[in-house]
Amino acid sequence: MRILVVEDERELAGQIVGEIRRNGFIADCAETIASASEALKLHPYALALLDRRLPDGDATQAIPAMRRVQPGIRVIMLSALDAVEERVQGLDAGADDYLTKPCTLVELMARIRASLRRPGGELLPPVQVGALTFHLHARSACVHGAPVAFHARELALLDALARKVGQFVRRQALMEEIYGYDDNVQPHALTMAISRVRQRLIELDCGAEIVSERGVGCMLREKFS
Amino acid sequence: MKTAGSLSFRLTVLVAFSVSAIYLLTPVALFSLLPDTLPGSEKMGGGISGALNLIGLIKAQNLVVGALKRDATGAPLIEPTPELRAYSAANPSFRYAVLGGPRCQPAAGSDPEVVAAIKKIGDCPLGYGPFELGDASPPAPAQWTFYSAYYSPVGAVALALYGYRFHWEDVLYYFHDQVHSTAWGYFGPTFIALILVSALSVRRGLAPLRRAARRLEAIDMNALDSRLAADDLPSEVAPFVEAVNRMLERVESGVARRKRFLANAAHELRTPLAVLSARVEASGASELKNDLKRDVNRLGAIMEQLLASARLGGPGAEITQSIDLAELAWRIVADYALLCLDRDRRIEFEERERPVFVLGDRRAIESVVANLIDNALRAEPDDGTVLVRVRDDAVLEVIDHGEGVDVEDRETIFEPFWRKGESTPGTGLGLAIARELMTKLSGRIWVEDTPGGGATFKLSFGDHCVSRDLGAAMPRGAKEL
Repeated sequence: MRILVVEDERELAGQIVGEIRRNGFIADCAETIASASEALKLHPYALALLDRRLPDGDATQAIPAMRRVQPGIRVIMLSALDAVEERVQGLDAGADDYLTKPCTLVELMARIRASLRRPGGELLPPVQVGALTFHLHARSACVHGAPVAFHARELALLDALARKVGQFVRRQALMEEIYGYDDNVQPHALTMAISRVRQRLIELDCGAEIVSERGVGCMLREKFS
Repeated sequence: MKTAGSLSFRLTVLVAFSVSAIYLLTPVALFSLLPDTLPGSEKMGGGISGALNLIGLIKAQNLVVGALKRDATGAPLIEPTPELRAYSAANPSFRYAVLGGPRCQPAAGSDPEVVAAIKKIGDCPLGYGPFELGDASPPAPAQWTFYSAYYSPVGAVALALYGYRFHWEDVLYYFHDQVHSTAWGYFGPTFIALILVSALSVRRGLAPLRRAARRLEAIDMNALDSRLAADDLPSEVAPFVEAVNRMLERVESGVARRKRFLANAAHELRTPLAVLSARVEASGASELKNDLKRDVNRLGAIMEQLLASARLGGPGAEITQSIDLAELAWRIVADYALLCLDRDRRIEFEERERPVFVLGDRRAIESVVANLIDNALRAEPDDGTVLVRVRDDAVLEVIDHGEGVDVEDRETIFEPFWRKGESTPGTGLGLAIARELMTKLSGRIWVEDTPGGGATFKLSFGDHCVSRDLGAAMPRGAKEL
């Protein structure tokens, strides 16, 4: 899956491209609207990450042209301009999401996954946490390449956590992801599921762990050694 | 507000005064402008002396006419009144004569010498002007002679006065006489009409100014592009309105410049910070990385506070974003929880079911909350937990269990550059800016004791608290924009 990063700040572009590649995507970098249009003619891209201010103009102006070349492309604006009207302008221009700088790379990855997750879309690359590989589409987990069995609920939990790897996910969001809007589920059920998965990950010794913080939520992350 | 008084009132008074002055003084002015061609006019004189002559004359004439009576035959006779006697006593050289009756004979009581003098002009003179009594006794300086035909209560007479003078009190008498002898039936309505017209024209003329004022009232920071209508303005008012319009133009371009500058500054500051943050994040896990992440976070929080403080500078700044305070607080707590994970202190968020909406500026509130949490984490003792809570009444609490804030310092900690001790790190600006921001958001920030020890910082959003029912009715996602 190919992602186009359009960012004129080379340092930042380098970091973003690096992070995207680490997450299993192919990433290309363009510094101007003109070179971005060139790239769009060469390769199909699933998503474009656009900086708002580019040397040859405001990137919002370029979105319609990009869409004409590749109708299915998702667009995330990344900008230091965050006034409400700027956001509205960005979204009105056709961006699917609008992120303000500075934002963390893990949040950026979560937004990219969220933006790409849609029915009938291409397969997302698997999420790698330590030795744990999680295939979002198939909802299957491997450790060191060998499949590991989890219960369906536990896989749903891992899926929700893996999509936002490195970030806290609220318990409320996990409840909705795993149990839907079923009112009969006790919050305790989630706690149990979390502790089971946490225990499994410890037993597997796969370098991935689940941490939780009261009121804040849970997070899947690489174990800090 | 002290004003110079009502313009229409002043104009009305001025008009009334000038009309009265013109009316009352016209005869004086005419008298002072008597042409030289009138026989003997050099003796009557023009100018001021002529004016004084008239005023003195009116008094003397009225005194003599007031003393006229008819005798049994119907011929006029002078029967001096006490006033006339007093006048004569005060002016020894004053003499007078009256010719009247069917044969124009001298009235009893007339001065024979004066009678003889005017008889020289004609048997029954109907003209007017000065006359001479003879070489023997010319009138002293500042005394005048005058004869004229006069329509008195006893019929038409020729009235000759010699040696009358001007006295200051005659001025009052003159005005009194003018007012008395005025045909008020004609002049009264004219006066009133003039005064009304002047008052009305001022009112009408200034009406566009009142409209302009109403329009100006409606202009705030969000409507700086509106201008006052400059058509159908009186030419006296137009320059003022045009000047106001030009001022609005300057203010608008100034505000636009400031906005551009702020947007640029924000861009210039956030971009390198984003680079720094990404670099730190991409580096290998280490103790140093965690420290750096915390520093980057603090730097970001302070920068956002300063930017928000500058952005919210003007009145009417956009604080109309409806923000879910609970969601916002959770995000910040989650950011700090990430930083705390491998440290010896924790942060906890009191989860709540329902959102709490407040009106404000997202980045501003975020930066204030981040600042409070950052402070609390530094104050929190090892193995302690900072608790963040959002109450139903839109009060956000950041609770630590550190040393707390002494009662006498609870106001001063919000002063710029306040520091607890020389050893405390930081500029001491954070809380000062936080208070400034909360004031601009019409909210409040204060500190209380944490039961059992420590400080609890609280934020309230006062009037800008949107009712939770309204908030709940909003579509999800609408709160973001």
